[in-house]
Amino acid sequence: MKNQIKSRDWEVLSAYLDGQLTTREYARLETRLKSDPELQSALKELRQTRNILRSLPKLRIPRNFTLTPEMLRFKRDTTRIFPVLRFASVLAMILLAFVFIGDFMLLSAPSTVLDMEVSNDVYTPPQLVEKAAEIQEEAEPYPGGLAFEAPAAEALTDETEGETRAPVMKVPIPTPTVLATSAVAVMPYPAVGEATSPQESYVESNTTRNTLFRVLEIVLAVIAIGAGIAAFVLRRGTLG
Amino acid sequence: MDESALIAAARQGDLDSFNHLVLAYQELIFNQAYRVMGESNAADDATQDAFIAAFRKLNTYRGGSFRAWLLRIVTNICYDELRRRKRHPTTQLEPLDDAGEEIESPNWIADPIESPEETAERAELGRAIQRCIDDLPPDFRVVVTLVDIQGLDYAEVAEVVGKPLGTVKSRLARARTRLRRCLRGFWELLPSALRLDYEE
Repeated sequence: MKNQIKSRDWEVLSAYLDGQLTTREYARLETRLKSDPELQSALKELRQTRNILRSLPKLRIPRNFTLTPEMLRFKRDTTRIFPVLRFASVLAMILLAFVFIGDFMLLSAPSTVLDMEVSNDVYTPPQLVEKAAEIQEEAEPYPGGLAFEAPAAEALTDETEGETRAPVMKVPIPTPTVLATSAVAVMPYPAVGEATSPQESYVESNTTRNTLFRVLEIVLAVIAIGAGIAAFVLRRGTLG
Repeated sequence: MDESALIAAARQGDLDSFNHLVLAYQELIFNQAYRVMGESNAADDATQDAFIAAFRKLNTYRGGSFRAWLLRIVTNICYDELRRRKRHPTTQLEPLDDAGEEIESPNWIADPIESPEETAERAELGRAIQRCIDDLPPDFRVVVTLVDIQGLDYAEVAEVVGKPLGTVKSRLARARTRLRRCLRGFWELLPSALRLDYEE
């Protein structure tokens, strides 16, 4: 039966007990109470509950809570460290993100060029030299042995230019890849492993840069995580 | 020295003036912390932290009820602690002593604040009521203790919890109806005067 009382009614009854109803609400509730025994019973129980709560004794305090300068100093120190740690963590995280982005951007573009150059160096001796030899044999009937070097050879062999032009254009070109690689194979490139190679110095500078990036990333990650954990622990009050 | 003069002096860093305020309000703050936290050790910590925070943030006090301002600080500290406990529950349901034996009356069940006489007279009912209060959601718990135990009016409670009057009324009504149901289970513990009232 008690369940029929709506939550809104409980709210009105509760406010009625504390004298928090307007005159109009008060008059309306009084009228309902006169004719509704369930509402009367609910009001009685609510009043009783309130009386029980009010009957609870005030607890005696276990000690005085007056402050000492030491208490304030300790609390102030810990509360000052917290924002510093939090800021350091956030800053390190942001810097780490920038370093990651920069690392990615710097490495992705030049690495393609590097790969090409390195791959030329690496793959030329075993496979492409043979291919270059074959092509050279095929090119024998024509004056000027560098027929397949077409575009690349132009700059290198000025004196043969007039004679080689026509035959070169007639020779069937196997594939662009072979052309390119054969050109590389025949060209007097510096041998792999030479100390003065520009590729090597490029690779070397790249390695140094990569190492620096890795170190920077590790340091920033350690700061971000360490400061974050310290701030969290401090905040949770498990330190000190 | 009146309250506003003490507050003004404390704002200038006068710790003695602030300690006068502490002495005036410590019982209220401790009781509120106890009713919300449900145990005296946590209430002790919350009370101390509340006064330290109050002293440090005294420049943010903009007048009005100083009592409500202090109660707001301790309420927020209690909320923080309750949230922390919810994330990291540590209390064993069946605490053991050093020998591995189960403790029948651990300190978080016993109430060290009351004297033995008071404990004998009121402990059982008091614990029953506190258990019912503990079962309430924290928002309801705070409002009902502020109104029915601390005796604040609705406007002051609204200031403490930072909610409109309508929310306070609603939370209070729901807290009281829940407590009504819970207390029915402890009917035999009620003093005869209160029990007769229930039976009418």
